[in-house]
Amino acid sequence: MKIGKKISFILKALLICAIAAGLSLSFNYLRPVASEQNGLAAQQVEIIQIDGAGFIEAFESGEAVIIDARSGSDFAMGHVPGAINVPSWAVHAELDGLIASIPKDKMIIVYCDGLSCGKSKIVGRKLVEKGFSKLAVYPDGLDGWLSLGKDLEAN
Amino acid sequence: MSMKSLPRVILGLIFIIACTGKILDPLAFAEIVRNYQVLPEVMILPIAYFLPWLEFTCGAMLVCGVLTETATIIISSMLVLFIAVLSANLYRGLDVACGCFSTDGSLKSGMVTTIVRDVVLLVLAAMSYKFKKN
Repeated sequence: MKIGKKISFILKALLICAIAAGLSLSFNYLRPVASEQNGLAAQQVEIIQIDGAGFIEAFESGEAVIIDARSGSDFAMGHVPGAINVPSWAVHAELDGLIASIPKDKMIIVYCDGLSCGKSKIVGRKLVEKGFSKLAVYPDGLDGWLSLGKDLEAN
Repeated sequence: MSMKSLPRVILGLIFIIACTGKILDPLAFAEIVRNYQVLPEVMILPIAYFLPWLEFTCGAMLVCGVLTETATIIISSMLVLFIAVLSANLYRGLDVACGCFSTDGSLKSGMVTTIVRDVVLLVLAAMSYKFKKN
């Protein structure tokens, strides 16, 4: 690529980036931001994490609602007994329907596949937005549950 | 519209469709970007606000036939970046939402499918670039 062509490409690329940045700034400045503020508030809430012992204790005492954040098909193949399936992509009416029966003051523990799985945190943040206050994530997920020698339930 | 401009227009339309959900809900997209665990926290929100609009601008330019060569190169660079990040996370065993076409529904498709789809789009970009040069 000749030097003139390189400079021309860089200038054109900068122009495209500037147009994109301008559109982003004006669009996000002009539209209503109420939902964003809720989102930001939810992001600032630190969701606590529990270990295997804490998870088993909550499970055996029956004091917590356990939520499986994986897909419906994964959930059907096997999940922690008694868990409720709330897939991480559930939003709006679907999400409201899935969590309608859970009291807002109930302790909730969310899990997904295993270490580094992001779905439980996504569901956790959505539940914070919905007004649930006692929320924990079990980061070891289903892998951790199985490694503790626990059984799964399938349906 | 000639057949030669078809790959360019299709690619542009795909990018416009892909960015709408992210433009409408940048914070949900920020959540997905955060889950990729490749960017420092300070860069997540700016990227979540800027990237969908860059996709839109490049897509619109491809559809309209304006600055198509530069837009194709930028789109190809984005695709290469997406493939690299997805592959890295697949290797690390991270289970994250794609965030490719929407801020929530794309979780349903697997990462390998997403990588293959991005490679197909990259081929489309190469075709669009080649026909532009001829």
